[in-house]
This record gives sequence, C-alpha cells and structure tokens, in this order.
Amino acid sequence: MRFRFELFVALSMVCLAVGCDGRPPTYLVHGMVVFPDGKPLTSGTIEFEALNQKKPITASSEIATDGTFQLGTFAPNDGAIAGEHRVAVISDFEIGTGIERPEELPPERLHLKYRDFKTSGLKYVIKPQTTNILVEVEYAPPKDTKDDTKTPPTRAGD
Amino acid sequence: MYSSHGKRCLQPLERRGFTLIELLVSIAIIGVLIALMLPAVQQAREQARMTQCRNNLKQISMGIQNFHSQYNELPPSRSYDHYTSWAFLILPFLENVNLFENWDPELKYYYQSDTARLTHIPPYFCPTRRSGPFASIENAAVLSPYETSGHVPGTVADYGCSAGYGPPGVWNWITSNGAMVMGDATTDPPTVPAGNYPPPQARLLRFKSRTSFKDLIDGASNTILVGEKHVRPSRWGIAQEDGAIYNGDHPGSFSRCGGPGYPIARSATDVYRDNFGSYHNEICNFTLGDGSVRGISVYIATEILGRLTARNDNEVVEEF
Repeated sequence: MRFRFELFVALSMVCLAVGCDGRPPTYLVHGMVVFPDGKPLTSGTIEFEALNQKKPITASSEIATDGTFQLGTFAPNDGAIAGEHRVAVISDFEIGTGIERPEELPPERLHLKYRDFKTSGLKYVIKPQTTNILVEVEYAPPKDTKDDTKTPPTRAGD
Repeated sequence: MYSSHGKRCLQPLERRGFTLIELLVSIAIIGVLIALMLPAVQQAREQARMTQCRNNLKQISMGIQNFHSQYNELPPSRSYDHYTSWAFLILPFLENVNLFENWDPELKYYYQSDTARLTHIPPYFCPTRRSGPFASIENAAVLSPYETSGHVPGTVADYGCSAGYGPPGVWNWITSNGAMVMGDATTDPPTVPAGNYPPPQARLLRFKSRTSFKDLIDGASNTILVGEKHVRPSRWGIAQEDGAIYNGDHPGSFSRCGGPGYPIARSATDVYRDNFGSYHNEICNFTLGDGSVRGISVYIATEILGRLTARNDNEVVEEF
C-alpha cells in the first residue's frame, strides 16, 4: 500500500510539473520559402492554419534571412499540430528603416496573393513526425504594388 | 520511561523522541504542501499584476475617450513625423497637464526639455514587465539611406496604439487601416535638407487627426485602440521596438500591428518586432473603441485579430 501511495504522489508531481492542459500534440516543422529561381524569401512571416478545427489553431514563424523558418504553435519553435493546413506568407518591409513612407517603398518582391489564406492556394499536410517543408512562392508581377501606394507623396525625405 | 530492568531512568539519551523516518516523512509532507501552494500564490500575485495592467489600459482608454469628447476626434498616432505621439497628446486627460505644459508643441521631439522627455507616468507601465529603467537607451537600426536620427533619451512605455496591418509595407503611414493614424499637419519648410542629425527644426503650425469614432465603421466595440507592445527583454529601451514613447519619429516605439503577418507574440522571447504581445501568461490585454478592456488569447487566429485591428475592413468579427 505504501508503495502505491508513493507512486500516486510521484505521478501527481509529474503531472503538476508537465502540466495536464489537454492541448493537441505538436510536431516539429522546419522549412524554407523559395522563389521559382531558387532564391529564398529573406524576410517576413509564415502562418499555417489547421483546417477542420473548432477554433482556428495557427502556427507561425518569422522567416529568417536565409529563407528558413521553424513553426511554433503554443510556444516559439514547438511545431504544428498534425493535419491539413492552409498557408499564408506575408513579407512586409521592416519598419524603422525609414521606408514606411509610401513614396520611398521599394517594389514588392512577393506576390500579394500570399497575404491571405483564401487566395494563397498553398496547402500542406503535416504528418505526426518531424517534417521538412519547401514552400514555393512566386514573385510579384512588376506593377502589382501601384494600387496600394496611391497616397499623394507628402514632403519626401522628411 | 523505564529502562529494561524496571528502574526509572531520566537520562536524556533514552527519552522517546521522533525517529529519523518520522521527521523525514513530516518534512516531506510539509514540502509537498508548500509545493502545492506556491504556484497558487504566484498565480494570485500575477493575477493582481494583470489586474493593474488592465487598469492602466482602462485609464488610457478613458484618456482617449475624453480626448475625443474635447476635440471630436481620436488622438493621431503621432501629430506628425518627428513631433509627438498619441501617448503624449492624451496626457492632459490622464491628469498630467503640468507635464504636458512642459512641451513646446511647435518643436520636434529632439528639441524638447529633459522634463518633458524623461518624466515617466505609472499608467504606461505593465507591472508584470518592468519596474524600471524607464529611459530609452539607444536607437538601433535607424541609420538608413532615408533618415538618420540620433538618440535623445526619453521615457518608454509598455503600450502601443493599433496601426492595423495594412496596406502592405506602409503601416503607420496615413493609409494605415488602424484606428489611430498619423495626423494631418502643416509645418514650416525645413531649413536643412533631411538626413541630418538632429533632424532640422521646423515649426509645427497645426495638426488635425484623420480619424474619429465615426471612422470606426466596423463598430467601436470591434476595433482595438491600444494594446500591450511586444518587446523582448534584450530590446528594452532600444528603438524601434522600445524607444521613447513621446517621440513621434519611430512608429515601432509607439504603435503595433496585429493581423495577418502580425500574430500576437506567444512569449516574452518571441522574435517578432512590430507585434502586440505581453509578459502575462498567454493573454495580451487590449482596449477597444467602446472603452472596454479585454484580455485576448495570444493564440487568436491572425485573421480575427486583423478584423479587430482594422477600423474599416467591413468584415464580421467572430467570437474572440
């Protein structure tokens, strides 16, 4: 009996330490975002939203300068849950460089359709194992960004 | 006590005390009880700090509501580039008129007095995050081809206004879809070409906000005004992420994005720069246009978060 009691205490301590929160398990997902010519997308955010969930469960990651990412759902880099996901890739310019002024924006590199889950057309199935994913994206068509920056320029350079 | 041969014996060594096992067991039980209790105590303490944080946001929210009553418009995120930010403009409504009077509204941030720049006020700090230091340390990554602003220290803050999430690349410009955007200002022409430090002084003649409650066409109760800024501990006091809050030069210091591409940071060490995020456990606090303060799960889908930060996306907000 005494042994059983100790076992119970030990188990409850383990449970307290690990935390019984009933979250779905996540699996490590590494990946890389590349353009058709093999060059990586060097900045931005990638988001994987699990389909067929009661509440959306989103895994996201910042894209590193070499184009790689490692998804995190409940903590940074902890992976994604298993199942089918739709994917969005957003690559805005980093603020603080002075280029948040519309008249000074360089042309968009990534096609803007990837900003939205509905229009990105990217879908991946995460299997319950460590996964490597290559996300292939297209360049923006040359004049795509004009519509978004139709603000009349104020005083440039201030 | 009696010894084996029946004689009464008072020698202390033979007195019946606790055995080692008994002592260890009782210590173990006490240890388990304390171990059970400590997390609860810590949670209660954190809960108290969270309540204080929400109270801070409530005060900020009341400040904005009163600003709106006075001027019939929301405070702009900044009056104009280089001048001052929303956090300073609502000070008279946070009972800090005297601090506000120290500021010369015609001058750029870089030309203000130490009192105006460096005085910190308690409602701008979340107790879970920090109890100091309150002055900015440096500007990192501001030396760009477009602009060079050196560092002039000022007080920081843990809250930033919502800059929406778009259109791509121009957040916090006047086209941003957040509730608070840059003001419509008239200034003197600068006397020195841009790109010099300190930025050339030009008087701010007048400014007007571009948004008011009637521009929150998604509904004031569905639009985020101000929320907790995500700042990694290693970036405290460093612009753009955590620069001087009264400085209208660096949007990354006084505003944050939320929505597609800008999830709420999940923990204090998340690498994101321009996002909302808190040091509370899985909850980030926001104040909405109707004056309410809500804790939102940091795992909220970015699509829904985007509908909350955008003032004019015409989308239905699901339960969040």
